[in-house]
Amino acid sequence: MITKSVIENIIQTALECGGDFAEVFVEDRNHTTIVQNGKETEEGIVAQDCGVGIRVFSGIQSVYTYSSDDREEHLLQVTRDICQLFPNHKAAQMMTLRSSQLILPPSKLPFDQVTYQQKMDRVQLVQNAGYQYDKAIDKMWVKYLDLHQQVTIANSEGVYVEDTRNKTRMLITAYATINGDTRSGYIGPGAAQDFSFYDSICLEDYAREAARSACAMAGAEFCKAGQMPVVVDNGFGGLMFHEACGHSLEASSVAKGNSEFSGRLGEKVASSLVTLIDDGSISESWGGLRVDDEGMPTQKNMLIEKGILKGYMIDKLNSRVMKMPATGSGRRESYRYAPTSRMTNTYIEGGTSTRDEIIKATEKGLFVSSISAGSVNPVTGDFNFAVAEAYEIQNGKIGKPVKGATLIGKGSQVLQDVDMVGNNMRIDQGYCYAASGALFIGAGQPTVRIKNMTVGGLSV
Amino acid sequence: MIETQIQQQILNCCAQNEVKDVMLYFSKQKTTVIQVADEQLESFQMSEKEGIHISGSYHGFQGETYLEQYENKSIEAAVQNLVQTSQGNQKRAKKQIGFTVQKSQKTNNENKNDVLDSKKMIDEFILQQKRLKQENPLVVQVSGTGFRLVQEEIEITSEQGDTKRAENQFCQGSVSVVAAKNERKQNSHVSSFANEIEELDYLCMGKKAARDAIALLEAEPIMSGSYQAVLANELSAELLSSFLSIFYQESVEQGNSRFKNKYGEKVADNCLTIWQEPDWDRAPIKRSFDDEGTAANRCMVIEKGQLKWLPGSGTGQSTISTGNGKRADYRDVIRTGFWNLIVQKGSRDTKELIGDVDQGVFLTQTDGLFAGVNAKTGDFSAICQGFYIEHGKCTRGIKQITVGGNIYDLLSDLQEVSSDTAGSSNEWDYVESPAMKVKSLTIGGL
Repeated sequence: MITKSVIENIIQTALECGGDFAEVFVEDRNHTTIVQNGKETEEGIVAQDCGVGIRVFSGIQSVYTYSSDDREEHLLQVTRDICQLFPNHKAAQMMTLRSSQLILPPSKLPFDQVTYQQKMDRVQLVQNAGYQYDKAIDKMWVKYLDLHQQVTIANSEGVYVEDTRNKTRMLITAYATINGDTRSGYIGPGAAQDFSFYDSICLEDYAREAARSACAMAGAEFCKAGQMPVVVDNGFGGLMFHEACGHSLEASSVAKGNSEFSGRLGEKVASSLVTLIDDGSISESWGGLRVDDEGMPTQKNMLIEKGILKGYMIDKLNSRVMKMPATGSGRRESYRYAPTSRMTNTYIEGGTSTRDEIIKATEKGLFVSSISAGSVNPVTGDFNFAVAEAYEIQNGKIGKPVKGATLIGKGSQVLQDVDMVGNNMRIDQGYCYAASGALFIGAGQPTVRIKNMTVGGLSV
Repeated sequence: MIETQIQQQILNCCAQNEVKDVMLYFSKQKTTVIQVADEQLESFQMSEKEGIHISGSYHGFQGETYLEQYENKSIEAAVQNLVQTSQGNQKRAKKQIGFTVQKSQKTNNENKNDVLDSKKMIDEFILQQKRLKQENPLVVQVSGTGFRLVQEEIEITSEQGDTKRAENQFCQGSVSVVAAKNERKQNSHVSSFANEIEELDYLCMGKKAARDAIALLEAEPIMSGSYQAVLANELSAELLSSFLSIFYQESVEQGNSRFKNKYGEKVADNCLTIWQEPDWDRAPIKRSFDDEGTAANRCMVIEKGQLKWLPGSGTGQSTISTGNGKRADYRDVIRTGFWNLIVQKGSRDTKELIGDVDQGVFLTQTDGLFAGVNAKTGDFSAICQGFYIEHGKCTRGIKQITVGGNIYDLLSDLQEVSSDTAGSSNEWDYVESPAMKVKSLTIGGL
């Protein structure tokens, strides 16, 4: 795409137009998406995205532009256009771009060496396994995606890094109809690997798990609404903490004072059983990266340690506002977005209890086996998420399945109300949608009990 | 517009690779975004995205791809992508219906060439933020005054050389505030669409955001139960917007809608009339043809409770295109969607509807609908906030509650709709709705 000297010219132009920091993000992405909805191929596309994102700061103000037109004269002009709001003077000196060597893992089975038909065959494998699980399964929705992304990130502080990223995922939703009631079960294995990922897992097992979940929920009674203890199982249950407090710990909320955790470093914000970490450096993880989308190496960020607020996730711009160092948390969906602080792999560290102990210790409540999606208001801390699979807990035992539950709460309160933490931590894969676009994230936790939550349901 | 040379290169490359029935969809979108927070410029963005979606058939099977770069090697790679996906997808080539309107029909919202005075706008926003805080002592922060201008060009070209063009422009303004009292914080966000910048009333938006945030500062949850409910017009629009798929022919075909074989039957209360209006003045996107060139028309969906018509994009086995094939942009495939769904208003305003309710809830805002909606069954459950109604009046704020129900039951249990309407916040699935009074919804709380 564009050369190093063009990148230097863009940065130089930005600084001459009044910026005191400038960054160029160049992206070349090849990707495949296949969606089979029932027996039909609803979507099947192979395409390439190429473009450039240019960001310039002046103090704590930022301007941004992007384009797929990579001609130098066009990029220099759009740089001048976005800097028109800055006072017209040379605000900073550019440092020499120094290349960083990223050690890339050996490629085992690159996506471009796998035919489209071979990818379709894997989708069909999942479909077949799901339908064969039980005759109640009347539809399978399966989405395969892969992407091979090459990025170059450079800035006026001398950073110049080139990275190659592979991501792939198989999203599986099974629909079961029992006694006229249709429910779904969902699972989505993924990793930052090439196609060899699918040789390391058993896709049929995942298909069967989605089908099992759908069958468990179909025909279930509606969950009763009210307040009760809730036990959230390990893995994607971690989405609860992603919503409940993760977003409120991103600098994009904290810096403006718009988070319930703003200005509370060193305070006890959670139960002593809670240690919350965001770690983008986990190798080959779905939510991880070697370098973030601002060119900084990712790292393990301790957010809450034994209940004490230790840190935030901070991007470059907000590090200026907060006067704190950036934490390798700058992320963006693509060149079409300016980066901001976002989560990577966020998880609650494992504790000492077993899942069985936690359930046995719960007289009456709700056992949440899996969660689908949710959202949060970082200002108030109000969060919500939809439950995909849940069961009543009666007398310390898992009872009948219940459907249609929603869990709501306030982030700071739910952290305080964690009173049992299991020893079975697992991180699962998901997506997060916010200001800098849709991102791949990991959400994880062990089995956790919250002593009191509001459960929304369709029954009272 | 696609340069003729590039167009020809693509068509030639398709022909060389035995790709037939080619349709090129070009879109170019310019966006300007200004965000002022805490009385200073926070961010400014000017950008342009442009690309071409290519669809065609290879040996009788449909394939598609897109490209953002127009050199020869990119075009050749794109056509090869199309060929391999058509072989793999095994989707029978869709019969092209398209181009049923005049060529080059422009919509009402032609792009204006006025230069946006960004600096003037920023200064005005800063002034408004200062004023808002001065006039409302409980407002501790105006966390965002935003402006977004979107200018779009679309051009659809068939292999035969027929071309259709559309241009569209809209603005969206928004104000977000944070109110605080006694260590409690509440925020509120108000946004609205307009055709021209001058039509955006930031003063009105700011006042509403402040009023809404302050009113809920002392909100508390209520007991779980079934309550008669009045859904505010914005919430009604968002709820309907979340369930648009139940109207699509493709959903009916797949068994994902209860509207199968329901044409002419009563599916809602008599007070409900809904129609599609592609050229609705208040809507951000206005079109006279869909993204395959098929005419998009005003169509009655539900009339006095009776189901009249369902839209389709022809992407199903037995569905037909009604001019409702939409792409989010050149990267997207064709999906079914409405061109602006309008709910007919009633004769009394929201306050009068609330006046009828002896004990119930007035719900003003919800969140998480995207997660809490089951499009197949029609069930929904999401966090919400609003006011408790006692003897026809809103007496106290309520929050940290969920609202649950079923969209099909809600349509049947409608008692009345108000005379004041509001639009949803999503330009893509734009719905304009009055407030709705409903017999009963489930509230999850204490």
